[in-house]
Amino acid sequence: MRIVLFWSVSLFAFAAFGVTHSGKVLEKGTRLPLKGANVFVLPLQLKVRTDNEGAFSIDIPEGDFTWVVNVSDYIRYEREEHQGPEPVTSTILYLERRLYDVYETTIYGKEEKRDDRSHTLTQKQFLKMPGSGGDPLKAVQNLPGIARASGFSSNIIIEGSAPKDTHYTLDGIEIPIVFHFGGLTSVFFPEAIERLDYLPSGYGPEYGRAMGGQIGVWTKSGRTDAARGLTFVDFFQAGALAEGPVGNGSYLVGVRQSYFGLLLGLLFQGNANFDLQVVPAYTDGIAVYETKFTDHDRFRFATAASDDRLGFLFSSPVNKDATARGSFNYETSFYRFIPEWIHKFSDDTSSRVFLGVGKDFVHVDATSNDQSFSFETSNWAVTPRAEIEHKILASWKSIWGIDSLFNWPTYSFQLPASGSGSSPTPKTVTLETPRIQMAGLYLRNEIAPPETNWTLSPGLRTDYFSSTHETLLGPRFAARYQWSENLTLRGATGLYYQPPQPQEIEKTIGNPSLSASRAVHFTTGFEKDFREGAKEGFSISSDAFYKVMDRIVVPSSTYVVRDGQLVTENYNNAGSGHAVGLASELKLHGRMLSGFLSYTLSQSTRHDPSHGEYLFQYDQTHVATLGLQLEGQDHWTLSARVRYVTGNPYTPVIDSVYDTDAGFYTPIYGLYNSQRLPDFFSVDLRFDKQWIFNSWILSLYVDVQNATNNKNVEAIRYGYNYKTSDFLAGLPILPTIGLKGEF
Amino acid sequence: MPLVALLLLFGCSRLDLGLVELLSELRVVALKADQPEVAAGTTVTITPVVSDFKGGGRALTYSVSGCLDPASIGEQAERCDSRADRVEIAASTGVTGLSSPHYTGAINTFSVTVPPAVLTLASGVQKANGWWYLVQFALTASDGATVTAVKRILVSNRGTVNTNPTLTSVIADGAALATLPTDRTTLSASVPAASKQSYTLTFSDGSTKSQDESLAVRWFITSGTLTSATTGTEGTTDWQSPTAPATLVTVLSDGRGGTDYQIFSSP
Repeated sequence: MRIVLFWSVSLFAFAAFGVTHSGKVLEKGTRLPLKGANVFVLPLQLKVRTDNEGAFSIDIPEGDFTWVVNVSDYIRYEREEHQGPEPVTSTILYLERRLYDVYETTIYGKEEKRDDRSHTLTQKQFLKMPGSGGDPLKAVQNLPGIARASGFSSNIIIEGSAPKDTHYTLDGIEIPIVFHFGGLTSVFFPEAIERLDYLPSGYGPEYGRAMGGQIGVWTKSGRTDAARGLTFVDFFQAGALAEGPVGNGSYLVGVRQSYFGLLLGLLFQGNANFDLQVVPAYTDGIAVYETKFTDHDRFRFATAASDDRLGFLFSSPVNKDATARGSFNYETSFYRFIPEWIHKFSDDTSSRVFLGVGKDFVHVDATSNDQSFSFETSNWAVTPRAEIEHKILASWKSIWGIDSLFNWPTYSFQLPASGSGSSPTPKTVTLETPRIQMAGLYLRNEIAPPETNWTLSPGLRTDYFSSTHETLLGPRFAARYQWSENLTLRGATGLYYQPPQPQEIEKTIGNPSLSASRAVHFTTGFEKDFREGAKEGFSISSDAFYKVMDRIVVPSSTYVVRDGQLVTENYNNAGSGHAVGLASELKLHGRMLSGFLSYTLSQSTRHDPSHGEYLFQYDQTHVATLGLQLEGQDHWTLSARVRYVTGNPYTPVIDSVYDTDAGFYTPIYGLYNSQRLPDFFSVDLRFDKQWIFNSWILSLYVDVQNATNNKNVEAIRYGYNYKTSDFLAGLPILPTIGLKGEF
Repeated sequence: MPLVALLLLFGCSRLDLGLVELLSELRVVALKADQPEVAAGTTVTITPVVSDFKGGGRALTYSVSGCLDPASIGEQAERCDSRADRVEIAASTGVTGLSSPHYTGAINTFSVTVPPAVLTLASGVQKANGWWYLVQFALTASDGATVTAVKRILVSNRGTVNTNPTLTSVIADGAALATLPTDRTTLSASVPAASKQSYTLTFSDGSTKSQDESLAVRWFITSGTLTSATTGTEGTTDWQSPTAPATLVTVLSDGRGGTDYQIFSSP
């Protein structure tokens, strides 16, 4: 009887819960499986939990029911359904996130922040930064201590230093070209970049050869959970990116191509005066392969490449000067292969070995009637780096490393024929500069004495420069005091060297006797987080910096004896300078509303025998940037940036002289850098909106630079005799609309 | 930055900053030396061509000084002011030769003697190719307006020296310019072929090369418009809508200090 009852109950139970219903719970738009999610079947009070693949299987009796899934950070999911007599195996429940940052990943293998003053911009931060167009390097310009690049350049100028004093690395490897056409956009596909590190004054010994600071760009590894891709198009360019798992690792490939040049070509089509023979165009790409071949070994191979080209022809006289007609061609390109091996010996010891191999190429030529000029440089670069990190004690970590760079450059240039005067220069010159070696060794220690709140980082860097035949020691020291859980005090100092540029030491056009320039950095400051553990609230950081620079390379027209001949010196190390300032940042961390206010007060001066003491050409007393971002619940974001910057110094023209033989006027200049251009002000806006579909996401973005169409002065242009002048304004209001599909 | 060049080139609007070819304010149009290339110690006569079209006949004076061209010794300076070897040649000399209504033309000449020792520090190659002697000419109006111009005289020991090119006449629509055009006329310069000289350049390794001069024609007007302010000797420029009284000054330059000019003035 009991058996009959059991089977009766079982049969009834089978009849009541008899239909198997299986499926998956996936994230809407990305199709990522949601593991460990509770799936409720109401009103039957049934529940099942998804596995690691997001899959579930549950028996549901015939009839109407409602799926309910409620996961943190996702919008509650409800769907009514009818269960029939047949099993169901293909149910997909798509859950929509409250906020989508599809291409934000957990930073894998992220190095600890070694320099307290370093700033990191994540992909999420720079993609939506207003005024930057999603470009990582342009977003850096919002950080404290960064001066605004002048004109149409996007060079990054760090705390009173020159643009050439900033070094750029990709995955730790130095790269020569970071912007297309000198500033239009960086050469990096933004969604292929994981993060960007900005190292200002007092940076550690791992890097060198730069008196200003370092900008490190780090590529993103491909996703290992599923294959993904995106494609985008906007006014200027289009691109595509694909990533996903492969074997024991992942891959990522991204390529961009500009087409704004075609629009320019159409604009000038039929113009009798101007023939755009080669429309301005750029291409860039990044590819990354990563694999883990043992539990202790990871191998990574990154590739980056970029190409720019432009060419035009003047068919008719330029500016009514019939002798000024001709052509202009410009091409620049580079590529780098970066293999990397990371090995973990133990929990206390790990190593990293990587190498950069590639070539750089620049070609410029211009013709005007019978005269022509061309310049071409080609350079092979090999950049080996290696590092071992070892925890000697619980409170003492030591890092040793090698950071070297080998270049094989070739320069050639053709000058216009010199028709008269003394000792005309030969028409074509090819300069074979010897191999340029820069070898560096470094040592960093991080010591946190027990039962104190101090962390001390003494370090040392040794650099050898073959171009100047110098071996130089660069000590570094940083200290951090944890005053409280939310208040950090910090300071750093160091001696930094920077070798001359290749053309400055070349024996024909430069001075092979030059020495490396150097700078001493002092910086002190604090960082306070007012949130005290909460997610929302304010934080503030402020750092004073002071730099002393000497042996700066400056032009020289003095005559010297070289190899027994009297020649012009061309350059010497007679330059020096100072930079002092305060770089501060106030951040608002919020769920819906976030923002920052960065402000830098500074002065940068230089001295050289020709001009005495003067304001540096990039001196900007005040640089203030306010950024705000509002995120709406329906997947939209509105952000704004307001910038105010003191105008750059310039040298006024006080008179002119008419050269009756050459037929042009030569300006006579006043005191060097004694005047300032008008101050800069701009408002940039950005709007992002996402539409989340089951298996893909569509994004629209509208980016408006200089939304108030302020006529910011970038330069002065003069009349033919320099008696009249007016200001040349920079970019007017510049809207960009783009569409992006992520799948 | 190539895109900067592209944008600046087409961002420039010359009309609002003045036109080099339009004579209205105080200008030095040309300085013609009777001998553009000489040996050291030679005296050269220079004829200034100036314009003060809208000056209303105000009094003008000129000053002249000379020095070794700083560029010859690798220094950067556009004038003789504050040069150690500066020589004052003329001081506040009254200008004669301009008349109403054009106040444009050649004025009183002055002489410059090139110092005999000017090539003392020059090497053999530099002596063969020549060093420049700079003549600085400052023209001042009675109200204080000043313009400064420079003229270079080549000083060498070359056997065959440079001479001035010849601007025979100005051609307007195929015929010598005789009357003020009423609407639009195409101008060109009549220059004999012999004006384009060949000369020898000597290089530091002792080799030599024959080089041809590159002649340029510069056009200046007091009214109307020109399609080109500078042409080659084969080129043309269109002069449109001049109104009387009008002056056309045509300056021929060989790029090595040699100069000639023609002045046409309508009644």
